[in-house]
Amino acid sequence: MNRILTLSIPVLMGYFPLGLVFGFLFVQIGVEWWLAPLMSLLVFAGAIQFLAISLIAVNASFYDLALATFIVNLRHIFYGISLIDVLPEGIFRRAYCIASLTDENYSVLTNLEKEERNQHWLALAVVHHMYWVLGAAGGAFFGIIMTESIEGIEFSLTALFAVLAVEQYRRLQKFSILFITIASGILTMLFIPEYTLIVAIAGATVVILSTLMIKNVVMRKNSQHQKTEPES
Amino acid sequence: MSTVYVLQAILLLAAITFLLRAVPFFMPKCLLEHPLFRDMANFMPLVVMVILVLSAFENASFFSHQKQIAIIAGIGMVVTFHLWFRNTLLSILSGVFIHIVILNA
Repeated sequence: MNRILTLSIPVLMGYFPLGLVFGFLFVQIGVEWWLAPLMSLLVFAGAIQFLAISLIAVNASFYDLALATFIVNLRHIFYGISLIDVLPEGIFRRAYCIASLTDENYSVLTNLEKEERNQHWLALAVVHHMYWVLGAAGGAFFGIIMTESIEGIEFSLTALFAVLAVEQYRRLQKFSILFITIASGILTMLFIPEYTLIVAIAGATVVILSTLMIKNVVMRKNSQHQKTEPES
Repeated sequence: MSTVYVLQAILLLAAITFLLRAVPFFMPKCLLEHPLFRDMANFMPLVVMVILVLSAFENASFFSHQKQIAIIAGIGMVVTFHLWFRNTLLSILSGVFIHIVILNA
């Protein structure tokens, strides 16, 4: 148990305060306080929960909510791949471990030795989940007793996305992808402001994939060229 | 805002998130290991996060310079702090702080 708590400290530092902010912001749009911890319990995904606050606030359609969830959480598809072999036994354990595969759980688990992954997966997921739910409950409580809201506090959503973007950039180290995405975002906001999110992401993805394909073709041609050169 | 609507939204988000996380456990490996899929898995998270950051400007009126400056300063602060200290909480707090100070100036 001590090992679990030690391993979970970095996540505690992230999940609890972020959960507080989530709960606080969620009750600002006028929902019942218990919906904040309930959402943290059932959804357990940081970015989309924050984004959902602004979507629910404007009574977004279920279609828009589904689309946003799909786009923001698409990355989770790839988390399970590297963890399939260490999934615990038992149908309920398995289902829970899969349901709780957040960014943080993924990164903590993949940093462990293979044996420990299987052994600690369930316990770590439960402990992290608790931090997240308790944070949301605490934040919702503060949000209810505070009568005046602070203008600009909702910027914590953008700040969270910026942190995640920096983490991703650190991992990828590709300026071209960052540049294409920013260009796509600005162009979309200027010319197609109605569906910025989906159009900007789709646009950037298509451009990046095409440049990757062109690069592959050029590389293949070059390597063929080098192979045939000595003969000619 | 009705509680039923929020409950429905929560269940919808939970269901889609769970299905996405469960995909690799049901999908054939050959499809998951396709190079196109691999490439997208690699760069899509960065693309999505950057667009989500930029979407902060969507709600800022084009003529409200104060709001725009507050957003730019906030993002700049978060990025600088995070590149420097790599402490999520510190980065977010510093960005929100600067944003609120400029907004209420």
